[in-house]
Amino acid sequence: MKGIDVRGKNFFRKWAAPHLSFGLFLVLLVIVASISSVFIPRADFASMEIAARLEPPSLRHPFGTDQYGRDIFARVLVGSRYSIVVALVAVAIGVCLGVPIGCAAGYIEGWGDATLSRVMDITYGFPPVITAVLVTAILGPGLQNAIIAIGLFNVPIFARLARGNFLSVKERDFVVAARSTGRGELGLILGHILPNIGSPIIIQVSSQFGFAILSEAALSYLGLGIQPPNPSWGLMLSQAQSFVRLSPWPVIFPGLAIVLAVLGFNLTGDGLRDMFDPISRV
Amino acid sequence: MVSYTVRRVIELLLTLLVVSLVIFTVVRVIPGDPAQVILGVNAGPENLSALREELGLNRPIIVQYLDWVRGLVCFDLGESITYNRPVSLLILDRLGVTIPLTALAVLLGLTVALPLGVFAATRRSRGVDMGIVAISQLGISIPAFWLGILLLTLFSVNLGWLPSGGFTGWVRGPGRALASLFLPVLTLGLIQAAGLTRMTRASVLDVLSSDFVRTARSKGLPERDVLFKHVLKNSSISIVTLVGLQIGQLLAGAIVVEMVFHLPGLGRLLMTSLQQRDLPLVQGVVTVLVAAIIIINFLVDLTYSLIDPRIRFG
Repeated sequence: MKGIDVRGKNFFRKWAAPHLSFGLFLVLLVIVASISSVFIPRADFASMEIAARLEPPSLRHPFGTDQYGRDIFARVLVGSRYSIVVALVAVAIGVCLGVPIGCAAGYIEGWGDATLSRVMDITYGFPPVITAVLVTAILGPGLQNAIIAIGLFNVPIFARLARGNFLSVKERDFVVAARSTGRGELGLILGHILPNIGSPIIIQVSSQFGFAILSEAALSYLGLGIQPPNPSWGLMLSQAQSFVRLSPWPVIFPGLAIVLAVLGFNLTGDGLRDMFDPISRV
Repeated sequence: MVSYTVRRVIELLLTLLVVSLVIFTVVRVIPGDPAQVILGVNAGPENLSALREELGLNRPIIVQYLDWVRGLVCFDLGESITYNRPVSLLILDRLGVTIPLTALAVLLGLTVALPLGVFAATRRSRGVDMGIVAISQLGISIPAFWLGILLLTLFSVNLGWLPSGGFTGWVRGPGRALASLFLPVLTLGLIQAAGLTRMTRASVLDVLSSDFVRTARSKGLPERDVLFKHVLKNSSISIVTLVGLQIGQLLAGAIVVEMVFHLPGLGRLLMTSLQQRDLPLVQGVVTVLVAAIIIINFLVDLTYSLIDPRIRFG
């Protein structure tokens, strides 16, 4: 027990701050990559050049070429755009549906709360891969699958988080005080409770972003997500797997891209958590 | 306690009923006529309607649902269109791969994660702790299928030590079966280990800062006794819960890993049945997977409440 607080502060200085900034750096890198990919002409990532297939990295092709002679660097950049879009929309679905459901459950309590919570438990029982299989069976494979499947999975996560925090905040003195001044219930929720459950939700957003990118990659790898010829990191890996004997580069770079992007969002999430909530430091 | 358990069991049954309703409805929404799928595009209308009659597709939807649920209770999941065999038998076959794969992966994950997590927690903020935290952070950011492809490339394509996928089955001797499961288990197990290490570390740190640990220390117990008698006992409960809660992720990971290594497990069955639009099979496998997730979570919850009386009426 020798001075846990002092150590905590050291820990924060030595570790938390650098990992947050490294995480933010990676996140920024992915965002810059996905924005810059808009300026890559379609010919650069879609045109095939069989004579130049499976080339190792060179000045002309920094990451080498794939089995059709397409530039992997350009495809990784364009792939980052799909990852970001899927993650952004899927997490937005989770927040926009989950937070109101969680707040409603926390507000009404009783059987309404129990019903909503059970529904969320059931939704949580469907991992993205299984939901994506069902959505694919109905709509056919595609980008929307990945978004729907990952988005639905995010709903119970944000609902539980919002409910738990709502319940703990709504009995706090400042809420009781605000109520005693005669504020309406809606004003109370929007003006006093929501702002105080905001930070755990923002922290969770960052972690779920990493999870969404990972899930999108897995779904595209399975053929349930983004379809060829559009480049997605997972899809690139599934195609490159058959040619790994001939060239390892098409397997290495898209994989590294996934790891760095996910790591960036995870580190940012953890860093934010350390900053706002030093007790639950993981 | 008994009334609590009874209440939870009723809740579980209701949940499973709702899940079956959701899956049944979703599969009914799927475009395409199963009779058309079986007979092909050139089938005449009279053949189609005869088959629809035979498959019971002309009956009211509620009767079809009740019939399916009645089947579910006795593990009769209907007949596969492409294999012409009962869905339940196909699933039982594939469990011979998926269950060893996931069970061994959890075992490997725990074997790696428990010592590492406890070790890191007891050396908080030192170099070794930061190293373990950094590696586990990296581990949870790696997609399972990428790790699988890398291990496959290294150990079977380049070094030729292990089979490069496929599964010879248990009848040809457990040695060969285990050899084909080695890399898949390693892949899934290491990914599990990364997450579990973080959880173990967090939960041990949590217990280390509690009052009863301070009491144990202040009454002069040696640090080893504090760790083994007080800390591990208390943190193991929450670790078990976390393992249970990860079951969904584990099964999803198993599906992907089976695809990487061409293992004939439940995940592969699901993906091929989807490609062939074998809807009874899709419906059966999805039901089994989701039911497994829900039932395991229920069992973990129940065990948790048995061990820790504070949770009981929560």
